[in-house]
Amino acid sequence: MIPKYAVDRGRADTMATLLKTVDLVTNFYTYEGVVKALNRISLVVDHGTTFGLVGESGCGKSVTARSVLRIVQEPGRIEGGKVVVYLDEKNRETGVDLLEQSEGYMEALRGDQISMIFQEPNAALNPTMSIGDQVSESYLFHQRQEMNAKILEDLCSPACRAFYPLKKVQQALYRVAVRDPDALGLKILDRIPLGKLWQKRLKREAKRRSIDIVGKLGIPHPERIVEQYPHSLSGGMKQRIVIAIALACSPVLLIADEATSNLDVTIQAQILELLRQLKHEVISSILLITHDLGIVAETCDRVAVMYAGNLVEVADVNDLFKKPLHPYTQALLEAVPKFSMEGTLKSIEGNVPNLVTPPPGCRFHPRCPHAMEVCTRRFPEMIEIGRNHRVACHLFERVDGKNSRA
Amino acid sequence: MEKILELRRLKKHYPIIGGVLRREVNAVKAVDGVDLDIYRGECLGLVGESGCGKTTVGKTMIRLYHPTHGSIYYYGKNGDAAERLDIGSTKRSTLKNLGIRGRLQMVFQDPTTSLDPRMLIKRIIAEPIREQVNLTGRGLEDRIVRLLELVGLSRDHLLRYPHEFSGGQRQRIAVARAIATDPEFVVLDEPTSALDVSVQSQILNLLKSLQQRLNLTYLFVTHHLLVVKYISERTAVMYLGKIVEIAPTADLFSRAVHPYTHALLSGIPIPDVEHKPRRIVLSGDVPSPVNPPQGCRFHPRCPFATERCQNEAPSLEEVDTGHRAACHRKWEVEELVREKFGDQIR
Repeated sequence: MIPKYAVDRGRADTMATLLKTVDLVTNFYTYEGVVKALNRISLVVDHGTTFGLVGESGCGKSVTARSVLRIVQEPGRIEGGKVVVYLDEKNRETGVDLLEQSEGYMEALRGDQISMIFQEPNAALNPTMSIGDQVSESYLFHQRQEMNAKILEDLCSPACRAFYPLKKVQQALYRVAVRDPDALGLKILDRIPLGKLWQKRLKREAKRRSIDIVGKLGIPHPERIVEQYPHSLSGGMKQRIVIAIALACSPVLLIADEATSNLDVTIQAQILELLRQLKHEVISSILLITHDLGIVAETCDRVAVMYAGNLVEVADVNDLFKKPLHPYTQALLEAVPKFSMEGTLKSIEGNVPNLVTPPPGCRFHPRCPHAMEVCTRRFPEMIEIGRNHRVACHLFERVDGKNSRA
Repeated sequence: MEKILELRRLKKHYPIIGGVLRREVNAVKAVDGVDLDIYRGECLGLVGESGCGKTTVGKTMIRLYHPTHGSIYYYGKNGDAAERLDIGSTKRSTLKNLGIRGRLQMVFQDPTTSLDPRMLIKRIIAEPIREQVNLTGRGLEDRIVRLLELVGLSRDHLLRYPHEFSGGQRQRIAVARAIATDPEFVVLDEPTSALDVSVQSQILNLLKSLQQRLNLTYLFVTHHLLVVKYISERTAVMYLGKIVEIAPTADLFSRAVHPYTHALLSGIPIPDVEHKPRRIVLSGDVPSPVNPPQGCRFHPRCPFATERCQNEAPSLEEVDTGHRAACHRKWEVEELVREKFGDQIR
């Protein structure tokens, strides 16, 4: 795997923005009513960082990730806002608003530059396709052109010892494929039983690449594994395959949606180690979605805490764990059993609110120990407190130009 | 301390049927020789990876499953030997007539699947009571309301269906159902793993207070080690159908002996930024319990395995008061871990 955006990694210390969502709103139109899943989410993910997104289930973590990739399922709809990505040099300044792009553009982007590891490896893998086919899919989709060129080069090189007339035909076909992959002639050929065989070399190349990447993820005997089907692998292995599919095209941003939450502690340790290693070597940035604060503390550089479709706090990981500002973050950190802990565990009373009829004002106020009168009326805006530490809470609202508490 | 349950060489094998004659060709050895004493009033944590037989131990212990081999001794209220009864070989009807069924109860993992969606909360909780005692009408309802109040719900919830509740409330209902028959012993099978962090702490605190109020004994089955640390006094670690280490919880977390326990402990992600330990990352997966490895079952993944480990199965031996471990190299492990992984492990 050659890092595609080597330049970006060099610039990681300058903290160039990679992804920015501005006031993202996603609603789900259900029979019960409109579920306001995302309420104006504004996030910034920088190049070269691991960004954690934490919250309880149903708070909109996954919907955020899906909105970024525009794969929100029915009856969900992205209603407003912007998702701006700064992927390559030419749009470094302005960025690309993904919500305004065509579906074709998104298809080319998903899995190639931004890819996603899905939550449940059992559901993410197709049980009727072999592992090799599933991994090669992304190569065949995104790197077809490049592979065609490589095969053509091989065919033209003197080392190639194919049967002579056939070789000439193949050379001609691949030359067409390199020039125009969607050529009508090739499409017709694909429909003809024997004509399809021209793709054999392409498929072989894709398979070779998938064996390569599967092997790189620390799976023993990759040649044998790619012939197998998902049911014959264990949970940890399946998760690795899902990661392999996501990493196949060396994405710039990897979105890991609860990549380890259904795995055992020892397997989880393996996967986290793998992600850390990969981040060093291959990927530029990771957007890690999880509900486990332990994983966040260990792997992330920056963390955003979500509650009921809102962003409540964004901070560097050290600041967040040492000096949590928002009452929800504080309560969440106190509610987790820790390694060195005495006395009883504090809990947050009440339940996560229903997002069809969210509480007015701050959505956390019914459960908040510091709730004030203003919290029931007005929604708190995100305010910057300290370096890179943003929080949405009325407790910190500026009164006469200085913080009322901090 | 009085014992309440005593497991001796408990085995539970699930047969694999195969061949033309549909005969038993092999067995999944889910639990393969477990010795365990549970004392009255304690909370024993049982941890291990998925598929290691934790749940099967819990279910067999209260005779939801019939054990393949071995015995389960139940000690009655006075705790003397005369009342010792092997519930592993007693008939189910006898168990019910003696009233033992009601004294051993269970809370299941996922409250969405363990509560019947077509039953009212009132009926869900009344079901076990009516099985055990003859109560009807007002008396029954009063008892149900008392139970609901005990778990933090109220009379308003009586005539509702499970789908109207959130995950945490459903688990409260499941707990209320389990304590409906005044049990002495409750198996809690991952009661918090389907719940969110904020709700998890509510349930843990509820369970803790119920234990004190009703004088319950718990077997807390989970894969989450920090939860075990919070709630239980003693902890047993299982690997592939066997107990590899058992110790008072504080002891286990500070002076683990078995290499597997070391790996488990170092694998917990800790919600604390200053604490960044080095990991012992075990290679490979848990082997299949159909054909467990020869000798020590952990040896294919153990970083310190010797030839002896491959051939001879270690037995659970005492290393300290109340601290027992099954490892051939139990006296050297601490040093080996330090040598191989450095001091930062914990």
